[in-house]
Amino acid sequence: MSASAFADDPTIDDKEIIWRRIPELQVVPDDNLKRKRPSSNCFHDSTGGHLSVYIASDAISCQAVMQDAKERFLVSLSVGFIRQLGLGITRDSSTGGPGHALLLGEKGGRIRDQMAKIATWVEPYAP
Amino acid sequence: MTLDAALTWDRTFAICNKPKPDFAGGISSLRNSWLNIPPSPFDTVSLPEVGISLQEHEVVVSFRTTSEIRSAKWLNQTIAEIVRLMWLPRDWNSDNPRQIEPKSIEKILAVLLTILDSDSTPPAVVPTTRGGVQVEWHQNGIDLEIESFNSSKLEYYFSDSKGDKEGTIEDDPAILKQFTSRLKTTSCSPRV
Repeated sequence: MSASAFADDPTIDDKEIIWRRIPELQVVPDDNLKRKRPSSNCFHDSTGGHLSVYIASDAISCQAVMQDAKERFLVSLSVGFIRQLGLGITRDSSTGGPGHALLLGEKGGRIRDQMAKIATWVEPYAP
Repeated sequence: MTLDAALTWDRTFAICNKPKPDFAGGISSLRNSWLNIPPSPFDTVSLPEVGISLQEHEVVVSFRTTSEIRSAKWLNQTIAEIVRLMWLPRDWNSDNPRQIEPKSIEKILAVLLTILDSDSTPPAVVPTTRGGVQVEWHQNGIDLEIESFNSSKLEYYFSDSKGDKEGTIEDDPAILKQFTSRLKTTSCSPRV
């Protein structure tokens, strides 16, 4: 099912925190921010046409989200920030387990860049 | 006289050994240890800008460039980081990524050889889920990202204090050259 077939879920509060898993190969140095951050490409839609995330309060734990994951790192963003960018979110626990959700909407370069800069590393999954 | 005619163009070969099976072991363990660019110039028979030949234990990258670029600090490091993506495992992330396309690798190398100078800063190199390669710089208040994907397309994003710009191009990297030139510009005033 394509992400465009979903609508933003208003039952997910703006204050909710979402997690996105980050591959080690997509962590880059940012001299402007004076720290490492995810590449903006971490926020590009997958080949399935959606961006996979986890709603923190719906997930069992960050350890459960990272268990058996191919990625080594984890970042967090707020749902309110995602909506400020014009994106939506919908639950999708059927494909990704408890807490799994999809971010909806066009994610151009500017939006991906802002997500990458605002994203906060989640301990103990920080580079 | 064009700029090209004023320079001496040589064909150069970079020979990269195949990375160890534990690809995810980290970039630092591979960097600087598996690249050799023979110093002697070769003939100037016309070639594709960049050609990649896969051997059993190594990959040979051929390209034409100037002696200045051949001695650039960014060249060895960047070729090594880009070419090693050819051996990236198919399942390197959870998003069902496509295999990195050799054509995308050739394309991004060709672009970098065109738009970077001998004193340019090496970019960060990342694989992309759609089978491409992205190079990026975040310095001097500027963010610049260039992704090569789908064999022939380049997607870019540029941002500085005055705004941002993004787009897709096929062959003419002139706009990218403008952006990389800006990476060297700082807001510092000369000392008087």
